[in-house]
Amino acid sequence: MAWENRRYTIFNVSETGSFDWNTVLDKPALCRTNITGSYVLAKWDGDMPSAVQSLTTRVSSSADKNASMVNGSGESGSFTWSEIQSVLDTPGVWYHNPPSGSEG
Amino acid sequence: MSVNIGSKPIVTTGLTHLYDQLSPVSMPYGSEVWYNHLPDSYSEKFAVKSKGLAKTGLAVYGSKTAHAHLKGYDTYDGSSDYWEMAASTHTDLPSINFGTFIIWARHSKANTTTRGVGGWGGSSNNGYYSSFGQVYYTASKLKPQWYEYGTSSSARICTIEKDLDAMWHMWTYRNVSTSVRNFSLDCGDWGSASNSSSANRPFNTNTYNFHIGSVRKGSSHMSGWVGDIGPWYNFNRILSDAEVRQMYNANKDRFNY
Repeated sequence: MAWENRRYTIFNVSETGSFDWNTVLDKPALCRTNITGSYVLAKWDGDMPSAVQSLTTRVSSSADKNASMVNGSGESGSFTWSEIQSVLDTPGVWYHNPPSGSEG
Repeated sequence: MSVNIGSKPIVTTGLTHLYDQLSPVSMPYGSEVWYNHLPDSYSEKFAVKSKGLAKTGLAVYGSKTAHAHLKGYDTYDGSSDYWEMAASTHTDLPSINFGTFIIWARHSKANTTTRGVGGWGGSSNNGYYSSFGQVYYTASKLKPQWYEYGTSSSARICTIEKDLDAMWHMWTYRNVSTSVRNFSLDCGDWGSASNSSSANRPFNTNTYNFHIGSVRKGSSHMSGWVGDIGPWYNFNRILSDAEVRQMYNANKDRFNY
């Protein structure tokens, strides 16, 4: 599986203004947020950037703020690819429930 | 007008948007912008409601490298990899009213989540006012689907009842008429589905946020694409079966070799 070196973090939107987005792969104008807009997602390849380390509202990798449990990757606030998919693919938290797929 | 981006001849009549990683015009070296290969004057001439437009930002990866150009596609990790256009307005989105939308994509089969490959999002959290392609996970299958909703009572959904594989496919969505639309992979060679709902098309001021790699519905994005996405094309008219075949033949050797 690809993305072995990719890590993700989730932090409170209150820190987006002071966060150095040049240290991660995401762009502030288009970063992904949860449904309520209270948390944002950022990602990087390799070691955790210092800017990410400095975030004070990083969500623990053992559980996100919406209690969608995931296995920790061993570094606080750092999700692996499979872990972040578990979080992002939880309906009603990071995306709205999928609509019916039946023929219309 | 001829368009040469390294493939065999494609259909150009009615073509309003051509986005291809191989084109130095569409994706310049070092750029973080993905442009329409076609000039605005050409797009405006043939477009119903839109003209050529540049994307408004890139979520990840930064500047494009020569490697991306050599590959001729982008890779998406399913988290926040997407191109977003016309973020908040309806007026400049590339509408496909009575037209054809084509996109080349490959799913990695890394998991079985319902995921969007791209298209038009809407203002509703329920997915109304939207028109987009996705893999819809149901009955242990990742079914390719074109999902189009005006409101809760106007669904126009085409579902191919097969489990998508991990190969490159050309997705084509056509509005065959005001009451019939067709969705196919590889001009129907891999699979196809039609829908004849009489519901109105969803395009109105609630339709916006055109995306490649994901779809935005209301206040959030749906799960994004996991895999690769190559070029995409938007036509302001309904391509014939023969023309869709021509589009497929133009690039099949590029992706399926």
